[in-house]
Amino acid sequence: MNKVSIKNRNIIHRTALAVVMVASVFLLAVVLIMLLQYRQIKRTEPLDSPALSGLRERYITDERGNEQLKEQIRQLDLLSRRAWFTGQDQLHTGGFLIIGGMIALLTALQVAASTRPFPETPPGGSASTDRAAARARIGIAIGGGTVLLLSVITVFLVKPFAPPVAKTAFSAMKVVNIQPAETPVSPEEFNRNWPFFRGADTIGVAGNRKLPGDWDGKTGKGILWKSEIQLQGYNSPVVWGNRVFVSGGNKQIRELYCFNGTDGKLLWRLAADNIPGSPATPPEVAEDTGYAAPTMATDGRRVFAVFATGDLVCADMDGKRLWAVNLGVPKNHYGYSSSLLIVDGRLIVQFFDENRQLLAALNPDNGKPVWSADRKTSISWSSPSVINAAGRKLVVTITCDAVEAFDAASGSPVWQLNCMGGEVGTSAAYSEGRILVANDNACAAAISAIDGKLLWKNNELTLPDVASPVAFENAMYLFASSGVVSCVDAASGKKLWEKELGTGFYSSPLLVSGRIIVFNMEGNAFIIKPDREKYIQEAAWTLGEKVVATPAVVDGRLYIRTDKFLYCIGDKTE
Amino acid sequence: MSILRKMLTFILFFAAIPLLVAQSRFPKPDFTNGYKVPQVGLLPSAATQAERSMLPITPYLQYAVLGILLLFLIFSCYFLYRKRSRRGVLVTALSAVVFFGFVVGGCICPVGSIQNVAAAIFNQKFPISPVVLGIFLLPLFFALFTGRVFCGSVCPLGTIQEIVNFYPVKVPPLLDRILRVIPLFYLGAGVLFAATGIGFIICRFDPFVGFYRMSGPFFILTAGGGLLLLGVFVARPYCRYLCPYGILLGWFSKLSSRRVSITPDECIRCRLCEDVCPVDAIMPPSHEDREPMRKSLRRIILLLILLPLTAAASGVTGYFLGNPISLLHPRVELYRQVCAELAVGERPQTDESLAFRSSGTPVAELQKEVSSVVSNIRLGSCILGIFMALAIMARLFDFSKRREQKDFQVENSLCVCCGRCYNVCPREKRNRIILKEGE
Repeated sequence: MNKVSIKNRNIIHRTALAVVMVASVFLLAVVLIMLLQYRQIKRTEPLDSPALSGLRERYITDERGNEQLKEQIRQLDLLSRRAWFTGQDQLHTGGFLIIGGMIALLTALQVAASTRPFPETPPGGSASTDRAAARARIGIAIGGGTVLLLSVITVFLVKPFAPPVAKTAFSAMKVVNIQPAETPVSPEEFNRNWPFFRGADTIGVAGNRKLPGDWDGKTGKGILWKSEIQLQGYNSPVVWGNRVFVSGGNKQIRELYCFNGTDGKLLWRLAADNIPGSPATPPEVAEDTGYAAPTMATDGRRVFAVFATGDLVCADMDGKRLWAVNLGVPKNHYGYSSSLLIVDGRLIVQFFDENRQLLAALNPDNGKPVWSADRKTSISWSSPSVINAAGRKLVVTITCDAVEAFDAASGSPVWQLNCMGGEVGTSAAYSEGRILVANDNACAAAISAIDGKLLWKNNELTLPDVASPVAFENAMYLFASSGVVSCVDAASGKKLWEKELGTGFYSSPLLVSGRIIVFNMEGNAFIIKPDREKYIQEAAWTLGEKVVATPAVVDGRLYIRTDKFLYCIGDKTE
Repeated sequence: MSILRKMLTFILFFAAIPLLVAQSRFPKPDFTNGYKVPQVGLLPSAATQAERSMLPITPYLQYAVLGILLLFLIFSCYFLYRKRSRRGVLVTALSAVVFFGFVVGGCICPVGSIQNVAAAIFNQKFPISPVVLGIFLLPLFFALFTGRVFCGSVCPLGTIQEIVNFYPVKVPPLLDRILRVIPLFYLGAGVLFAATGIGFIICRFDPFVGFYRMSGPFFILTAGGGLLLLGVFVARPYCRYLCPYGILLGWFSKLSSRRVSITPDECIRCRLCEDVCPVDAIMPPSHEDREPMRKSLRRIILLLILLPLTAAASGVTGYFLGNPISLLHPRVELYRQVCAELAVGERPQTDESLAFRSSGTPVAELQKEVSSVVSNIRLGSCILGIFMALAIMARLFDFSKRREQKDFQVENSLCVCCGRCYNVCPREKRNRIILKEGE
């Protein structure tokens, strides 16, 4: 090769290298810009920008029909869309620039490589076949050994697969006997009985029922029967037909009881034991919560009970266990106390744990979940209620932070309002489209059942912390633990009157035939005529025992539970 | 050797027949809820345009791809063995990048087809089309006779790396041998994952398909970019240290009698070819001071003793490795998710768990299925462990036997048939000059 051609080759080589440099810098710059652009696009959601969302919210809530605002939203929306599409276009263009840059770079590299100085014999000798083979053997052995070592480390580091059945809740249950599908229970049947905590409507409104007349627990007047309950519990009785159900428990054992409504004889008792996943050592609970605070539920075919251990048991009306499951041991500093209820053939369970707050609907035939709503909220000791809002059934729950509503059919959250505080133990009341809540250290509030909008809030009331409120004719009645009874206007939140009664209330008031019946902690029952003007007490009776549970009213009989006894109060002639 | 080779060829093709039969014996399920299974093989002529557009490439093009693959392989052999032209090989490689990469979109390729074949063998419900089977077998068939010509100028994953390898540097031989163990593991894992239904990891982590489709997950695109950048200096990093199909091609190439002959006539031992080979596939000639025969023999006996021990240790490790591997299976993941949801305490619902619950399948049934899946994975993982041990020991045996070679020769199982050695061989150049002057 002559000198000229070598010179030309060198020039081409150097030029190609220069092109390589330029193309590399260009590519780096484009890639950098594209990465920044990509990050920008990923970070921002132009169509959901706070500014646009704020304007939309303003338009929907306060200024519907404001044409200027509408135009402003449109302009901002257009700008956002334009920004988004421009970003996409820029990414596209960047892609083509990279392809162009790559072609230039590769071509230049190829030219540079092909015009490199001719190779010369490499210095030194090549390794002998033996040495090369020895090196290969060592490499293979090291490689294989490393893979084996890494595998062993992985085996030890990663937790071995263990079917987590025993730890699970509903799947781990032992289905003893699944009953065949029966005729659905009609709402009338539910209303005739007392299937849940605070009655069939779950808000303490019992409709037109006869209340027993004059009675006295100390003398036994009007007491139809009194039966001992083996184990203590703060749950309230539920009644179906002639059967009264309560539960009780202590650290060692938890049980379900069924009493004959006619004579108070114990028909059956069922131990909640041998449940997979049930803790060997039950959790510690506060003395005034106990192991059986949640009220049972029944649909007249089966009866359900849940305990502070997380054990959920289903039995038939004759005390035969159908299935049982451990929901997980609730970590709850006072003890688990949320009551069960049944909505549209589904068992609603609210599980409150310090780490997880879950609302689930279970198939009562087998305990399998139909839906579950996992929430990021706090715990409480309140029970869910069912509210019919504009034809839609909502399950309303109260946590220590918020009032929440879930669609009863699907479990999807409908709304949430952060308006609570303190340690909530009360459940919701309802009046004319308003969900009414009240709890000590939080507030009394009214919330629109349809959209969860706060209608009013009042912090200057004497509020209950256990007894749930009850509403009648646009007024909410509150029975505080301090013994103060208050009446609040449900439309405005304004206090209408307040009355000091001395002993406090844990038992929730019920509205029966236009009268409020409530027990205080000393076991005195008050019949109060709801009135917006003043406190009107029509009657007062004494049971003579401490009462914290809420009574059940069925067929002219009042069932009330105390620490050790279940009472049936009524007219002996009936 | 030729008898063995022919036998293997026959076995290979006979093994393919049950797969094809299995496809017709196990038709797709008829869904009662009106769901229509998308057609993945040949579509009937009555298929709508919308149905056709569901396929990544049309079914007729799939057969065309198989035909074009055959043509590419023939051209590669022609340029490599007949014309001895590095330029011809490079042009074929460039064309392969354009066609198999940008036109076909990098799928389906023989590398990924390993998983289709594995899934079809171990799961009779998994259909495999004749095209996929053909794409899997064709390069292996060529490797049996002509070495790894597929790697050199047809594979869309290899050729893109070939094009960017402008300044090849030598990887230290020891490191090179260590890293070459990885593809064995990747092949085993790819087969295990596909056979047990965990997924097609080879495709999921294909680093270059994103470039061909001009879209892909950020991680994959970055990994692909990184490999290409590395490939400028280290020749074919994916092919050498990751590609699972390369292992199969290497095994088949070992049986090939035809190999790339570096020099057209006499080797002058200039070592230029050894220096330029990007994949360190050129073995030096044997020196006169060989190690004593007794030493080699002792080593082989030692390896024979170690063989069952290593296989047992790897098998046991593999069995226990099945535990963590099983966590990757979608059904196991679903079961864990469902259990966690039901345990009232761990995770929010996912689309999969919601779909499972809507199906009404009892959890106990899922549990049973998962138990079976885990057992299968443990067994498969145990076999993978034994396979790894045997393959590594086979390599050790290979490098323990005495080699006798006069000149620099290519190691068929490693040579990717790129033809770079032709370009630097002084004898080759001399021949060309003589030929030119003669003309």
